[in-house]
Amino acid sequence: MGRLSNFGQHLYEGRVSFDFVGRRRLWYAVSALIVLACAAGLLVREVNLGVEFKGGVEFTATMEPTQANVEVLRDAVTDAGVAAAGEPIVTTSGQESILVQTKPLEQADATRIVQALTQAGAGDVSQNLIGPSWGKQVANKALIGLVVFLVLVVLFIWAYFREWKMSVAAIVALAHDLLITIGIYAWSGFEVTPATVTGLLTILGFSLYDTVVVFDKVRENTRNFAANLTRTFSESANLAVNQTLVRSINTSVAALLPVAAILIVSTVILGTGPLKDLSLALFVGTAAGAYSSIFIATPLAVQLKEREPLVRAHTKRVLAKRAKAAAAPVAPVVDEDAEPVGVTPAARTSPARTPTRKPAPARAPARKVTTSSAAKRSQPQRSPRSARGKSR
Amino acid sequence: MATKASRPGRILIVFGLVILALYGGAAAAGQWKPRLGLDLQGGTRITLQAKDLEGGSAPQDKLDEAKDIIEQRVNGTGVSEAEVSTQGGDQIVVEIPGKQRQDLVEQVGRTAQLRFRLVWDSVQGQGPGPQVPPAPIITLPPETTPTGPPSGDATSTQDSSKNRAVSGWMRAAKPGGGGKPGDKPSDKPSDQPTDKPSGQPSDQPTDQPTDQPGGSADPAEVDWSALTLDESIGGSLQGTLPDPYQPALDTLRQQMADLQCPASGAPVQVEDVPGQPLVTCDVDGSGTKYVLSPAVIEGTHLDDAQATIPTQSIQWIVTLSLDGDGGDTFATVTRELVNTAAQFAIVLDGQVLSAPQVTGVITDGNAQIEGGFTQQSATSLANSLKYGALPLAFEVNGVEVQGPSLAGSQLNAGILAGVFGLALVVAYCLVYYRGLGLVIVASLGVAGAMTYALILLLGAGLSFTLTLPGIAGLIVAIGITADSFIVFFERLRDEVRDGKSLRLAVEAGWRRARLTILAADAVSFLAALVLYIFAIGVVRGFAFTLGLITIIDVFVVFFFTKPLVSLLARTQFFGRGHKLSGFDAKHLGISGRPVTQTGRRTREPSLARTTTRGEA
Repeated sequence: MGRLSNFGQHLYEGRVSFDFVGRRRLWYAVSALIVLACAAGLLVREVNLGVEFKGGVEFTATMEPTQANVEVLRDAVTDAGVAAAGEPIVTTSGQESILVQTKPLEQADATRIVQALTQAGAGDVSQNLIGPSWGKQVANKALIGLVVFLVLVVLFIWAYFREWKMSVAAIVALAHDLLITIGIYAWSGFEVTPATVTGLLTILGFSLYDTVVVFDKVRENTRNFAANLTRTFSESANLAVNQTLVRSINTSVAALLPVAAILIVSTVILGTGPLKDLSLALFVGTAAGAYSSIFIATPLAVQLKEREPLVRAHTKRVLAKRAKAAAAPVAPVVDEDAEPVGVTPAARTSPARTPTRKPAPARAPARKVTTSSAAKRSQPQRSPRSARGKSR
Repeated sequence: MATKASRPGRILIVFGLVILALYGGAAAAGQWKPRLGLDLQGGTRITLQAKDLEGGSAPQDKLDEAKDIIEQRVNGTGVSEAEVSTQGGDQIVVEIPGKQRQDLVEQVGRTAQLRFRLVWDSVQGQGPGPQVPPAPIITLPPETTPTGPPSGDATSTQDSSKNRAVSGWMRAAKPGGGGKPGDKPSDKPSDQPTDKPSGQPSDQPTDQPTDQPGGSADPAEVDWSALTLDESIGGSLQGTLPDPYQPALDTLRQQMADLQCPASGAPVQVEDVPGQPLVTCDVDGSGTKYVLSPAVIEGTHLDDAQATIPTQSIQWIVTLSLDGDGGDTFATVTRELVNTAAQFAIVLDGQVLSAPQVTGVITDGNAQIEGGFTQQSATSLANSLKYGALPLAFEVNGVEVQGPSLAGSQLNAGILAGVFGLALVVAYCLVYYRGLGLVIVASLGVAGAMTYALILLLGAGLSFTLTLPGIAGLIVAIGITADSFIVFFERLRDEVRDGKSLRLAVEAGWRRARLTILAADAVSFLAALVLYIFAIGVVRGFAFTLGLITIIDVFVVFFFTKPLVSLLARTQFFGRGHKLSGFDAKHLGISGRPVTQTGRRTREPSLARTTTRGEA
């Protein structure tokens, strides 16, 4: 952990930096690949809809979940003489129950099955009967909720950042997370229930939360970008992402830990159920959300922003200045460029630290110069040093 | 600075008092345990969905009316603790905690409980009769309604039967009038209820001491499906049934004699089984009792019912139209019963809504009931006929029955997941933030205490119940709450890295983190709110607790965590960046100087050492 903390310090100062913004093509490609795979999953395999969407009856019988008991209960349902039940799906669930699913039934028929199950040795039988028209409503509601939420999110982000570009980026990141989550459900064949849909909508909130945190820092770093000629807009933004990286990791871990706890406990003890459905959607979505706010949202926002004439002009100025500095045949400048983007700790470091940190990179060339001056070489070799100083 | 420095303590004290006040409220409400949802304590939930709505949503007043009726039905079955509520603008939810009663579905969900039966026997009530206000659902008025002058009544009847081209008409008759066979339609109906109770029909069976070849005296054991319509009509006309049924009819008469009709307003508790005879009371609270035949026509055969005033009349009437099968049966019945004292009964929810005599043969299924209706009572009866008492038609959308053992293990799983999740987050925070992690633990504890108190209060005040998804929401919210602290602490550390003393860093970091926390919480709350509005069924509980904790989180961060950190920043342990405080230079990875203001001089050597290492 201490190492992570150190790492955080390095990230903060820009000594260690990941090029999230600059290598956006790579991240886009990675995400596009994942999203495509997920979309393919949706096409190839149907999402496994739960009883709540299709209509039907789900019985949960308290009984030792052994294969023998599964057969006993299957026979019990078949022998109950309820033709409408169709072929029952009987599975074990968790540590102490067996799940029986049938087609939609009238309650009178469902009661007969409950009696049959009880006679077959089930402890107590819980029942969840869903009318066929229910599912349609559930789906509709979820869809309306999704649309309303997206509209609200756009309004919120726009109001908060006063920036449509950031809004677009945040929405794209959201869509990305949703698609990935749905795709994983399609591929894995996990059952989709109203709890899953709720989880999905919650993901929207989580994903946005992450994005808000990162964008907040981006905005702070780029507030006066025009006055800063050492970094381009995208470099400032990238620094922001790096500076919030530890925080993003921490918040994501803190959010994922409880969700993981629910997922594990509910899967082990209860088997299926709303807890598992909810937490699974949350787990997948939160992980995707953490990824997208760093790798998708920020690069996209920067990309959109870079089209602005002001930003373009500024970037040109910064690059021109850098090129001019690089034109001077000086080793130190080259050294500096070799470092990751957005270094220049001097711009950020406080006076207290400056004296101790600044000489460090200068040490090696300085020594060289000293040696040379000891050898009474000509002066011009010293000029790079001043040139470098100016460039700062 | 001095005045500012004195604040955090005060805020903390006020915050503590607020929490105490919350628990005081919970104590005053006498609520120490959260109310558990059905999925955690077992029980039955029946969801009814209004169907065939115009415009997609049900008028609130109709939904409320339906809710009241369903509540009556449920209470009528002897389940006292049931809760009936409306949901989502078009649903009614019946919740019966702690009991597995899927058998109630039939009675609660059935909307058309209207049936036409023949009156085999009846006893005029001893009660005040017409003076008693009618039961709330059905408002067939007493015939003594002053608004209907008897003579006008007769005229209008004749007029209407002509003008509306219905093939017959009926008059709502009280059983007391049964002793006057051959009454002309123009007889004043308003006189009938005041007639003395007719002993006549009920006397008849006593002179029939039939032997019982194969017939059982227990009506429940008799196979009534073999009883033909003609035999049933015979029972209505002569008061006797063929041999196998007569003993049962005698028993039914005895049951009727024993039946105590409840006072007006309370529906009588009878089981209305279509294929069985029924012993029940009149809905008007007069205490009139009936023995009724098995249903001859089901309410489903009723196509339409309208309240109307026929032209050239001032009297409200209710017209009925039956579909083909129902109309055929009705034709047979009216042909036999016409111009006799025999009655048939319109039975709704097990109570006799109206027991008219027949004064014309109705062959096309179109009939009308008249008898001193007001506009309101006629409309109400028409609606009752049309919808089977409920102002809306409902279908059973879901029946959820939770057995106690499954509910128990769900509760256990929820609690275990909560403990497990909390432990993981606490462990992570302690390892990563060390001393500062304790602040997170304390903040989580305070947030937890606040949440618990609020759940108690909401349970007492708004009947909020904690469901399994609700618990999931609480657990997930641990992450959200911890996120806020992390945002704050990371900002704080950034400031420290920038070279500020801890005390200054707390203030500067807070200023910057504040907005981020508010924005992020606003987003979470927004999400929870939208979820709550659009969530389906029990999953609402998840959205509710999520939103609740988001608000609590804001309070805790602003009024607990921040003041606490401000206070702690003054201590030696944190202020000087103790190794375990989470602020020591090495832990933060600062290669510059320690995180201290006051201790700068004393830590000079270490500063020198670090500097050297940094340069090396």
